Amino acid sequence: MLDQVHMTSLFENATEGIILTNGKGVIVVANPAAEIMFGYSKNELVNQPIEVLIPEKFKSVHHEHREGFYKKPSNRTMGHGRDLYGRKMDGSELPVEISLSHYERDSETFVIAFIVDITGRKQIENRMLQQKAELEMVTEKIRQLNAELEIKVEERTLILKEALQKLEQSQEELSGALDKERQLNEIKSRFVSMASHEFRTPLTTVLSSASLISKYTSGDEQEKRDKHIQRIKKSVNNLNDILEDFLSLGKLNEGKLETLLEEINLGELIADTLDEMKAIIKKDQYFELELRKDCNGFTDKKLFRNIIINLVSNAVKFSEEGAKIVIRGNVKDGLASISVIDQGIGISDNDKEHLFSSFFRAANATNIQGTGLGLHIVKRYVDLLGGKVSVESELHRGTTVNFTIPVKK
Amino acid sequence: MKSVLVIDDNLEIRENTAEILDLAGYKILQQKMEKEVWRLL
Repeated sequence: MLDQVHMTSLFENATEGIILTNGKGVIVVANPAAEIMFGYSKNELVNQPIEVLIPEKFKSVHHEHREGFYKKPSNRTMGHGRDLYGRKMDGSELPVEISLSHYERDSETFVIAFIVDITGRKQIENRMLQQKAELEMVTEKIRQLNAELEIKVEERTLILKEALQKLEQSQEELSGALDKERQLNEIKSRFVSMASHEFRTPLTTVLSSASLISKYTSGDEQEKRDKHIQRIKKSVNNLNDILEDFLSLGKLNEGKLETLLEEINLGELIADTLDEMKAIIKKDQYFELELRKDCNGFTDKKLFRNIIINLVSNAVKFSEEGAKIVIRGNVKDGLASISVIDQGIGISDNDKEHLFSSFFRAANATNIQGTGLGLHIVKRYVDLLGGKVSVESELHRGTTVNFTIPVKK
Repeated sequence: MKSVLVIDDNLEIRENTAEILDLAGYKILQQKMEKEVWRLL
């Protein structure tokens, strides 16, 4: 059992502030630690209302709290996590932690408050809070930098993509130009090989037939002379046809060809053209015309006739003697559809895709005379008339060329 | 008499050449295609 001296020493030397108040909230006793903590001299706090130690702004609330506490007193330990403040004598505030306990004596409630000055802890806490805020600021800044970086990366990626696209485009343009160049070169070399062959053949015939005529001088050799005169005529016509093809191509390339649309009896035009072409067919070849003679349409007579001549002379040229050549036609819904069908040597799949380019000769046609311009001109004439042309063919079986042109007024 | 084989895919040129050589006193053989010539030999 501790004696009174020890009890007093405990009270006097405690580092925590200890204050005892009576039932009216008046300080009965305060230990030195409490007096120093709140800036009072010895015994200055005794008989003061406890509210002198409460900051101004909490005074009225504290009064109510105190009344409540007396009505229903309960002990309260330290560290409730509540921020409490005390008021020093000079009016300044200090952060504190307080535990409360009570006892009854002569039916009066006495309250003991243990008070700890937590200024140091608060300072550390504040510093930590500040550091936390600073850390958050830095984090936020980093986040912002990251976001900016991402935007920049995106922008750069976009620029890079655009540059790549442009590069690809210029590459395409370049390869397009190269392709065109290659095509032109191809056409040029085809022209040279065609021209050397197609011109030389009739010219050689003309030359040799002319020298033979000069040798057949006697009167009974008229038949021989006639044969060579026919050969010369045929060769000259041949050369003329080649020149006609060139002229047509030249006009087409210069864009000088204009269409003159007029109402034409297409059936009659085709029939008349075929009649004229009977002069060039091979032995026993014959035409079969599957077309009403009275089908009319608006188109360019000259171009239409030329298309027919080109297609039919191809059919004649690439068919054997005695072969049938069918010309089929129909006018429906303002469209004229014409087909020229032969049973000739046909066209390989390989050659089909080049058929309409200029000076192109199919592999199986090199021994047959021709400029390689016929189908090219047909295609361009049909284009001029706003139509379409297509080819169906099988090697050794024959070829069908179809073209469709609008003939509505 | 010496023989000459005339080969050309064009009828007129082949015939005219053969005719000229014939007038010059050669015996003439005419063929259209090369492969037919090999068969002949």
